[in-house]
Parts: sequence; C-alpha cells; structure tokens
Amino acid sequence: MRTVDWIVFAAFLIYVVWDGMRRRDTARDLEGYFAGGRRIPWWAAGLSIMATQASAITILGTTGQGHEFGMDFVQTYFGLPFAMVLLCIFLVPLYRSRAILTPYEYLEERFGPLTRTLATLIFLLSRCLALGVVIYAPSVALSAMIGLETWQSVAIIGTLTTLYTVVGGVSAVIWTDVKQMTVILLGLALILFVLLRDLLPIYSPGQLLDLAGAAGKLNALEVEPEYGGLWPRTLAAAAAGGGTPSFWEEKYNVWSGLFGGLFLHLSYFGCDHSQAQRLLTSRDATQSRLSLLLSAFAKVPMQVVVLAIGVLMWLFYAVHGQPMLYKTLHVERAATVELQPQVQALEQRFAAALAERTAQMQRLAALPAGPTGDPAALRDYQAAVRAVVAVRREARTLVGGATDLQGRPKDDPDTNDIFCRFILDQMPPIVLGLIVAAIFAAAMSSIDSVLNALSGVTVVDLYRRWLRPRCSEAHALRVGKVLTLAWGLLATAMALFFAGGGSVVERINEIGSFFYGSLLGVFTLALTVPRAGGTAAVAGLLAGMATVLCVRFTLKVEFLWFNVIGCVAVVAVGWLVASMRRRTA
Amino acid sequence: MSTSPSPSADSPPPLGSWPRVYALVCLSAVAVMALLWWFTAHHNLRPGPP
Repeated sequence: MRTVDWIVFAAFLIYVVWDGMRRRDTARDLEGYFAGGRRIPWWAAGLSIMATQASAITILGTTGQGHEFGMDFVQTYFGLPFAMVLLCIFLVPLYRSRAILTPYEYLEERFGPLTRTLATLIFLLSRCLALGVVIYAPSVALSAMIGLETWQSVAIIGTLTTLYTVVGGVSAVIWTDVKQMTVILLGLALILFVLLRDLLPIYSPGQLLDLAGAAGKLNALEVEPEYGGLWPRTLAAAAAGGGTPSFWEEKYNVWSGLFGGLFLHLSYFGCDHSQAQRLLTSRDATQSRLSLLLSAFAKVPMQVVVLAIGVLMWLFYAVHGQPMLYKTLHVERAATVELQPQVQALEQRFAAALAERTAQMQRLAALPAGPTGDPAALRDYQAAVRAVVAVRREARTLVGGATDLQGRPKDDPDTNDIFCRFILDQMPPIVLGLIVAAIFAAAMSSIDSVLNALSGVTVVDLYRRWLRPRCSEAHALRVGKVLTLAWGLLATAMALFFAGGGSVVERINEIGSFFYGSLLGVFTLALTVPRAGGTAAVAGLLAGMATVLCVRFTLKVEFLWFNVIGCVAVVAVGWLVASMRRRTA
Repeated sequence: MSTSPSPSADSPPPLGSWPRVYALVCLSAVAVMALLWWFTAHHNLRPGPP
C-alpha cells in the first residue's frame, strides 16, 4: 500500500475507535450497556443488523465465490425475507412484551432454568467458534497486503474492536456499525465502478453477459437440481465413488436456499443473541420490526451486487490474464527450489490454457447470434474455461501442502485471496486505502456485536442467574465489561486456532448450522406445543443436536439442510416426550 | 429481570397495517427471485460434461 492509502486506512480505524468510545455515557447501567437504553432508532438498528451479517467474509469470501463458482451462493439468502416476516409476526411481540435483555430469559419463563442454560451454552459455544473465523478472515487480507504474520493481524483487529466494545457497549456497537456499513457500501460501489470502467470499453454489456453466462457464472437461480437422487448417499459410499449423488448434496439451489435458508435465518436473526439483541434496543415493537424488514428488502439485492463484483473480477482476469496462484503462501512455496521444475511446467501449461481461453472468448464474443449461435464455439470456450480451472487446481494442490485423510495431496482453495490480489494490483491510490478500511469495517462490525452479545448472555443468563442473583446493577455492569474483554481475548485465540485454508464464508455457516436448527427448534416448540414442558424441551434440544451430528458424520447432506433437520428433530422429540408425559400423568 | 419494561405504546405501522407491510415484503422477494430466474434462464449456460 502507498502512504496515502495508509493515511486513509489509519484515519478510519482511529475514527471508529474514537466514535465507539465516546458512547460510554449511554452505557451507565445494564440496560444501557446491553440494550442501548432502548432508544436506538430503527434505521440504525437495521443497518447494524446488516453490518453484523456483512462481515469481512461478505467482501472477501463472497466475491471469491462469485469469481470461482458464479452467482449460485445468492440462493442461500432466498429464505431471508420470509424469515424476517415470520420473526416480526411471532418473535418480536414475544420479546417486546417482556422486559428481557436476552432471548434465553424467555426460555426460562416457558420451560424452566435448565432449558435456558442449555440454550445459553449452545449460543456461547457456537458464537465463540464462529467469531474466531470472523476475526481470521480479514487478518488474511492484512497479512497478504502488508506482510504481517497472521497472528499479528489477528491481534490488531481483536484488540481495537474489543477496546471500543468494552467501553461503549451496544450503543458503540450499533453506531460504529452504521459508519462501517456506509464504508462497506462505498467500497463496493468503487470496485464496481473500477471494474465496469475497465471492461465496458472492451466488450458491450450484452457481450459481457454472454461470456460470463457461457462460462456458467450467471447461475443465480437454479430450479432444476443438478443431481437426480432422492435419498442421500452415505459418506462411505460417496468417498468410494459409489451410489447416486442426491438432491441433498447439492450445495446451493433454490430449494436449499428457500427452506434451509429460511430455517438458518429464522434462527440467526431470532434466536442468536448477536442479532436478536438489536430487537431489544429499539423504542417499541414497531421499531424492532422495521429494523428487521430493512434486511428483508436489501439483503438479496446486496448479495447479488457482491457476487456480480466477483463475476466481473473473473471477466477482468479473463480479458487481461490472471495469476495462476492468488494466495501469498502459495506464491512463496512455488518459488522454492525443490518445486521449481514442476511449477515451471505448470506455468507453461497455464499460459497455453490462458491463451486458448482468450482466443475462444474473442471467437464467442464475435458471434452475432450470441453463444448459442455456434454450439462448437460454445463447447470450445467452455472446454478452455475448464482447462484454466484444472491447471489452477493442480498448481494449488502442488504448492498448498494440504492432504486428505489418507495423506494424499489435495486442493488448497484460494477463494478468499482472489479479492485481495485484485485490489492490491488494480485499485488506484486512496481507493485502495478505503477498500482495505471497508474490509476492516466489515470485520469489526461483526466482531463487536458478537462480543457484546457473548458478554450480555454470560452476565444475564449465567452470572446473575446462577452465581450472584442479588448482585447490584453497578456490579453486574462491571462484570459485563470484564467479560467483554475476556471474550475478546478468547475469540482472538480462537482466530489463531482457525488459521487454516478453505472457504471461510462456508465454514461460518457450517459452524452455525450445527447448532442453529436446534436453537430454533426449542423456540418453535415453545410457540407450537403448549403442553411441552422443561423435560420435553431439554430432550428435544439434545436430540436435535445429536441428530445433526449423526447426519453430518454418516450421510452426504449439505450444511444448509442441517438447520431444517435440527429444528424438526427438536420439535418432533419435544412433542413426543410431552405426549408421553401427559399420558403417564 | 429487573430492567424496565418497554416504555411506550407501539407507534403505528407504515402503510396502515402490518399485514400490508408483510405482503409488500413477500411480493418484493418473489419479484426479485422471478427476476433472477429470468436472468439465469436467459443468460446462464450450464457447462456440459468435459
């Protein structure tokens, strides 16, 4: 980065920390610290909800997804608007008619203390694990850009975010989120502008659509499943290459997005305190509903734009030539003496594959009737696109150092590094600094919310519930601040643990999906089975998590479905136990 | 909990009633999905087998 970029970046960080810390006046009691004094306007809470979900992963991982796999990831969000409506109807009145600080307080009222504590522990475990990944993602970017070690980047992000969250509480979280979301949107708009300014003089919008579409990158909504099987294969059969691939193992399609995504987002926004806390910070239920509905309107279009940036980056590289390796670690390993002969051979094949892809692209773009006008040209273009992908995969496998369970070398994906490489190489001065600031803004806006939520749940649902029920407000507030600091340190340590390869964006959702279905299930049980009591709820919760774990380790099923499976299992077992106990009684 | 309850009555919903607001959200979501379906159907060509 140039000096001017550093100035922009540092100015942003200083401003955010200052802005967060000056909110300390509103954090004078427990309700001020964890619920913003219930005076946050709906639009600020709504932007904060969006900023928390739009972590650095939205920028790094999702643009990488667009570059590598096209737009199919947007389908994950199709259930979100409907989830928001259901939450407005069922959960917002439930929360706002009670003077609660966390959703798990309601569970005690409905099922007793054991269910509340179990749900609390599930939340703490799942969020702490996921938070490690959220800190790790932007640290990769920082390491790649300025040559720091990953642990140093993790320490910087973790420390700054923890600092203002400890001092300012949820008000600091929300008001810094508003500024961070603004910088994120500005950064995305600038990248879009730079890409279009480069590509449009070379190809018309119609040609760009044809080229991306012919490469299978415009797969925004797939109705027809790719795999025909109805029953999921076992993992053993899949590993041996046997059985018919089933509908359930297709990662993203409209059905998994609508149903799996519906359950995922119901749980994330309604039962995960890092998001549900916003519903408790507004003045009344109307304001809480409006803050949720902002995401219902804006999230899917925003994801479309982010993925489109990824596809445009792919087109940019297709036009101008692309690096064989994006990850800094890969590039360094490729330069080592022992790998040089194999890397040189791969580089020659890659150069040939790129030249062939460029030639086929120009041939396809010149067709007056579009790509379907000449099936041979389309076939050759798609083969050339596949050839580039294959050589890149081979190169990543060679230099990545990743191995499978049998110790064989395997692909080490660089999905999260594509965006970093692009902005470092292509962005003009000041814009680069602003976009790096946007990546950090995205990271901090997600981390601060979770830190405040983890601390709030620990104080309200564990400390004040079990350890010091009669402690004063001032004492609880002090404990809350100390716990925010402690969670910040622990999450930073978790980030170091997670410092591995793979697509970060998927890993976050996978971690959530292990627990989210069950968490949602217990709230659903509370609302739909009036006779269910504490025993039914606890049995359901345990059964839900056990079912998800069984499915995860035996069947080839994609993670979005875990949310549906977990929720259905909790409600079914809870209903069964409630019925049996009633009969026994 | 010892915290104070929600201090004021709910302010009125936009468009006069919540069912109208929810209908608008659902319709706009369906419209966006229909647009994306049309976009995929017209522009995306799923690559054939190698």
